[in-house]
Amino acid sequence: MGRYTVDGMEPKEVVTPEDVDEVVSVLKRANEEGLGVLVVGGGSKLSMGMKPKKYDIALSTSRLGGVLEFSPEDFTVSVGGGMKLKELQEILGKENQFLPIDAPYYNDATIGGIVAANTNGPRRFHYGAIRDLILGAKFVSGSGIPYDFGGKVVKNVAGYRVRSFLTGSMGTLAVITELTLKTYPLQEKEASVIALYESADEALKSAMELPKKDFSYTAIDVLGKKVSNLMEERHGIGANDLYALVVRLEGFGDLVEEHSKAVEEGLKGSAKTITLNGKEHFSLWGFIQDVQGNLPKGGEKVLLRIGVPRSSSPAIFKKAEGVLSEFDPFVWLHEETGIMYAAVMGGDPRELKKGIVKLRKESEKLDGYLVVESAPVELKEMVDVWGDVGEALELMRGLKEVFDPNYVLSPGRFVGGI
Amino acid sequence: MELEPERALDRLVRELGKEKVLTGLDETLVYETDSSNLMGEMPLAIVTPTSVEEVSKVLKICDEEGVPIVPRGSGTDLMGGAVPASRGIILSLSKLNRVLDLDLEDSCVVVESGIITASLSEVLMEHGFFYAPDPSSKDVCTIGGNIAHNAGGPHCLKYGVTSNNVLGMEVVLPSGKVVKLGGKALDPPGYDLQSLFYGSEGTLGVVTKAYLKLTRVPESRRTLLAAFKDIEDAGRAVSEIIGSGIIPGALELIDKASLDSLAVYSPDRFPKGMDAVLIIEVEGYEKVIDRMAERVVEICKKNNVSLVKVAESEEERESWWKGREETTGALGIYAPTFLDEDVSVPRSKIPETLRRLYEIAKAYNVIIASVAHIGDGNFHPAIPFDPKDEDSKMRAFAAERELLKVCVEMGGSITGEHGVGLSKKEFMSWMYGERELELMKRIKKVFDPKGILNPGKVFPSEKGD
Repeated sequence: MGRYTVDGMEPKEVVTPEDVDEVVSVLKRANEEGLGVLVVGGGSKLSMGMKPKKYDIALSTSRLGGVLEFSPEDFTVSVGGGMKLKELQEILGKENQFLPIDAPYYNDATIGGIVAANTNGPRRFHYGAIRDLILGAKFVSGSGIPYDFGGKVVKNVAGYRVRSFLTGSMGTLAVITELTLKTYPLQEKEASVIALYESADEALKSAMELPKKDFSYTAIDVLGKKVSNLMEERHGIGANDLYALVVRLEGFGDLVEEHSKAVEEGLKGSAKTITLNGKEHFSLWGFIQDVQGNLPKGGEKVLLRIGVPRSSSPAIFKKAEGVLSEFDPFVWLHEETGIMYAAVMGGDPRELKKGIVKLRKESEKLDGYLVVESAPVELKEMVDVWGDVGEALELMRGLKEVFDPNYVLSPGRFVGGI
Repeated sequence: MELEPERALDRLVRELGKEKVLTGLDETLVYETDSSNLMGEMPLAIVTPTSVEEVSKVLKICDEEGVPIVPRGSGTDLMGGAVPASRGIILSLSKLNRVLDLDLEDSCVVVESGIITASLSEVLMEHGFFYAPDPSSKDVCTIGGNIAHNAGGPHCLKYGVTSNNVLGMEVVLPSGKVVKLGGKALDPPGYDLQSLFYGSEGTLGVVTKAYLKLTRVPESRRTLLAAFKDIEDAGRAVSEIIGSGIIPGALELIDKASLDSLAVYSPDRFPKGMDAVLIIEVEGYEKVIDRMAERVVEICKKNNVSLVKVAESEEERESWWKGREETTGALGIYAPTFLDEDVSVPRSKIPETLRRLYEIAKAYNVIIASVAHIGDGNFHPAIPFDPKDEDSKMRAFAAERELLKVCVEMGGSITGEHGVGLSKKEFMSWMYGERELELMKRIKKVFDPKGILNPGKVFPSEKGD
């Protein structure tokens, strides 16, 4: 499989435009010749979506990266759509700032790709989602028209918020060429408290009880046994087939210390608690934000993302473990956001389909949703990876036709066959 | 399509009942305008549905009969967004004002869109929560109106504007279709239609329900006053405060021109002879709150502050905030009324922008006095003028035009939180090219193909309008 393989398909050509004009000409040609174009950033999320109806051109944003303007005193940064998150964080870090997005596939994910896929992370509830950080955007629509919605201010209500509308559009509306984002100051101190439990019930219950107290945490995660074992393998923490509850704290030095002690005290019922600081803390969260990228390689991986109201997250966590038990799933939950992931490393597609359909029903009963983020083509042909988006579909189709009337961009990959 | 107002009114009365379709002159008269005081067309009727089903019926009927609709909360729009630009109906959401679901476990409250923003506080405070956006009209304005303008307020530096505090919404389209966007489950698949509704000024659909994010009331708070002889120093202090990791709950700047009028209006409020005064409110845990305040003091001192102090009592704190509120009233010493502007520039450009505004003021022989939510670069310059004096009025409007131009030049926006409405639509082309405006119009068409929702707003007039 090549770097640009998508659902078993190879593009006829790979283009790497260097500027907006080149993006325009690629898309104009695609419209004239009726070609299908997939936008590729770091290539980390190409598995998301249905199998493309056409895949003639892979449009790589690798030459559309870089920091275009960083204004530390304004806490804003403008980057090319192909800029890698990891590189950006390193640059911002030098000014003691960061972008509060803990997107998965940290080494490869680009900012344009993160916006397109709306991949957030464990701290999403605390700091907001990527859409909340977008102050301006420049893009080329599927029809090959360049647009400039490039603002640099936090508050701007002149016209529609087209700048953040591309969030989650999965490359079906436009090629994002530039983004201006809001940055945040790094906090004085961070720490993690990890508590290990025999049962999912205990870990989930402790997680649910934590927020009632008033601590300076920015993320609460619950890791299933297999993820916890993986954490042990990579970081020497967790393991022995125990569930892990991991709490992230940020703020003033002594406050974080005091709160981490209190959290540890509060989690006394667990089999073991550990507090981490400094480098260990950061590398642990590097692992947690990217469990999907840390899963064992090979096999026909199936990755599910399930979102429910936070209070229903314990219920769906256990359902996921139960429904997928025969596939021995990896499960983990960003508890504060109500978003959990389940991954299995392969299995009979028909059985997997049954499991997915059942779990989707359960999620929908709880006012939530289920998205299949990665699956072998055979399975994608049996199940709609996105699920039903309801009455909004007609509007979505109408908007698709405004941006990309000839269905050039990622044809057939998005909701409702868009 | 030909306008069929009579038939539309008959149908509305039949569906909703007479008591919800007000057509008497005494009832419709006040709806000709909003807080902008711009005069619009006399509405055909004021329709006051009490359920989403009724809203849906109203939209469907008006769409079929080609009758324009201006959705309206409390009419606190300062830009004429709620003023009827053409003859049609006013759809008042004021009777859809219930709290539907207070869900503390999910940190969410579900409300109908006509609920008054500040009235939520009463419901939430006793549980230790609040809804963060606090536009200055919060005692009157509605959540639906806040969404339509993506309202902010002093607290939005720390907690974000409306879009950061809404998890989902229910909207009704002109077709009568009711669509739910987002909700308590975060990041659902599909296009981010919600993004389009924030600041859409009632031109895409009618918001009937909102899922609001709740924020925990901070344990403790300290308020500081810092007076600077040089506004550049104040600007630098602001950047350093935020850079130190402290994001104040509020961070307001009162400029020299405002201080000068306050010095006459209420002489003892603030120190004299200053270029800028900052009101800084830090919030957080009791244990560290004094240290946060100390850090702010240190940063101010480092940046040549003339006077900095922490409020010693609630009275002192209130007196400072009162001073901030009095800035507009104080302009009365110059003229009976004033133009109330709302612009945004990158934060670091505020000192330079204010300098340019003073030059404009000089050139046009007017006063431009500003208060700024300096933390996020949004500020409100006011230009006093005498409406009876044509020359004074002309100079004020001309200065306002220049002022907007400067803000766009600085990389800012012609509106930070008040919206475009009628007043600013001709300036939209300063911010966007033809292509961008065309794209927005095509987006509107997807939601509202016949253009019945709040027509004549936001977009610059076309030939023949």
